[in-house]
Amino acid sequence: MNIGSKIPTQFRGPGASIEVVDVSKTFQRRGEQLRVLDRISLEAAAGEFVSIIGPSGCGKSTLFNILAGLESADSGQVKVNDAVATGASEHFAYKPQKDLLFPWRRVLDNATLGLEVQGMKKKEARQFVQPLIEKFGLSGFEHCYPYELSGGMRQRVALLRTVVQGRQIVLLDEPFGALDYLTRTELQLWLSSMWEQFRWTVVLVTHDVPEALLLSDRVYVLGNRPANVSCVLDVDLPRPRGLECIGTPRFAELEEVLLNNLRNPNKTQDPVLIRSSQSDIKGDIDG
Amino acid sequence: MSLSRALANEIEGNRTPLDASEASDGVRLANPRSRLTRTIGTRLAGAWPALIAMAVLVGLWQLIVVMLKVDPTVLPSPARVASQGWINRGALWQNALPTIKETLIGILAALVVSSVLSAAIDLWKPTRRVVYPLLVASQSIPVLVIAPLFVIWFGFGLLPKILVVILVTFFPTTVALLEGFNSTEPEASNLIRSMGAGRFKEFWMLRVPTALPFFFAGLRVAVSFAVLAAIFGEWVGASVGLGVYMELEKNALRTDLVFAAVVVTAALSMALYGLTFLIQNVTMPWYRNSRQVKRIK
Repeated sequence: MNIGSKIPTQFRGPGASIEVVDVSKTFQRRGEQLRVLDRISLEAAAGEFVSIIGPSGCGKSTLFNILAGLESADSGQVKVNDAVATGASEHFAYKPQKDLLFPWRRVLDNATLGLEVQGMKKKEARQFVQPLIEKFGLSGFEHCYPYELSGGMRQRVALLRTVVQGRQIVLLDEPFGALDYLTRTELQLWLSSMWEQFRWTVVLVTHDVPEALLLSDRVYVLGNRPANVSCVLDVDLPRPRGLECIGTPRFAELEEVLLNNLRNPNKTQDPVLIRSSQSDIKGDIDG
Repeated sequence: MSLSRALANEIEGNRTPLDASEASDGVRLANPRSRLTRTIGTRLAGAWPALIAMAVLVGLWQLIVVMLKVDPTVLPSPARVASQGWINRGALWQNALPTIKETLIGILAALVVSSVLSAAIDLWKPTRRVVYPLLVASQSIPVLVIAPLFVIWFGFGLLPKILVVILVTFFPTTVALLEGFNSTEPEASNLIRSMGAGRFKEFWMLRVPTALPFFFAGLRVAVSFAVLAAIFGEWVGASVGLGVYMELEKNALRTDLVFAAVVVTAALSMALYGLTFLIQNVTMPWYRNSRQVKRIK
């Protein structure tokens, strides 16, 4: 089944590669210096799905705000396609934790928000988004107001709004954190299959270990504040990944590695690199 | 891993298409037009208790006036107010028209003033420190003193009454709009800015719609003062209007016609008040229904 061919090319990845080099950030709170990010480095190749995982309050969201251009880094660089892009938000499509759908806009008009902000005519933007409505499981709901939708559907609308902007890198900030377990798992599987079709470059922030494993090609573990990368894990689980993937011994093994690392962060400056022994991960993805 | 296994079975077991499983969650409502007529219907149905209470009060009033044989120049019976009001309906209407005109023009002008002021304050924060104290000060001017001055400055025409209406009504709507703009979620601002929106796009596409429910709350406060303000403006100096009419009939000891004018005034206020709900339902169809859904849930 080749669903991919039906997707208009403007929505398809791979996007751009992204590299974060030694980004640090310190906040001033009541005269106190609060170092939140300590020389964070990470990278995602074009079309790769990368997760950042860490304890709550470790500065994951701050890192995202820096990427999205909402906050500035004290030092370090953000590179997009090897060109310095620090503080430039135009490469990133940002999906915050809450769905933040505008209650006065119908589903279709919420999805077109980013396009309208960028100056596209309403009618044109609607036509642009329409082909994706069905793919996102929203057919028949285009003209509903957000209050008429369930939490899972709202998140899918929010994700649609994020990806139609046609930006090169998608930033997802704990996208399913506020949902119940069942809906969350269903959406994770759905996102996994969507990514396999679209191949966006995705950076996902989460504190949900199974979520990171299920979705990612690589996971970065952040230590406690000040956060630095304490571990980098290549996820060598075969794709496409469905629910059955969660039950495999390899999944449990990797989950244990991540949990151990989260509980006992490695405090040295150099992250532990856990590269997979298999060299044909890429082959699996493309196949 | 047993938990995820259990979950796997759970999901595999109900592998329904996403749409179908979610459709039962989403509350679907009928089309907007029938919704509007239905709301008017339920509103009228909901008014019965108030109408009955009013009828009882008027009945008691009638009974007391008839039984105690009260002089109609002191307190006329409701029946007399109604019959005399009907006989003098021409004069009442002739005087109600300018009052309606002053009230409506005054409210519309006040809306322009408050929109401009609140937008300026919201878009250029320093304006707040300059303008806000002046706004509050403007509300401490006694209308009792300023209304006659308006007559001295601007004569006996429409303008001084409109000014009184503006002075009384622009403040609640301005404050409501400012509060509304400020109630915008910071995360939503971040989102629309990350999409590339500047200050003005953020204002127009996010802050203005967010402020609408607040605006209508403020508008209702303003509207309930507006008719009274117009009548007061007439009272201090005018040739026509309900305010003048009441003053003249009071001096002629026609208490029944004063009451008739009061009834017209109350009807005007209530009509304006109702109008705000009508406009609100047309401009914010999502608002009322989303609140209903929340209540159902």
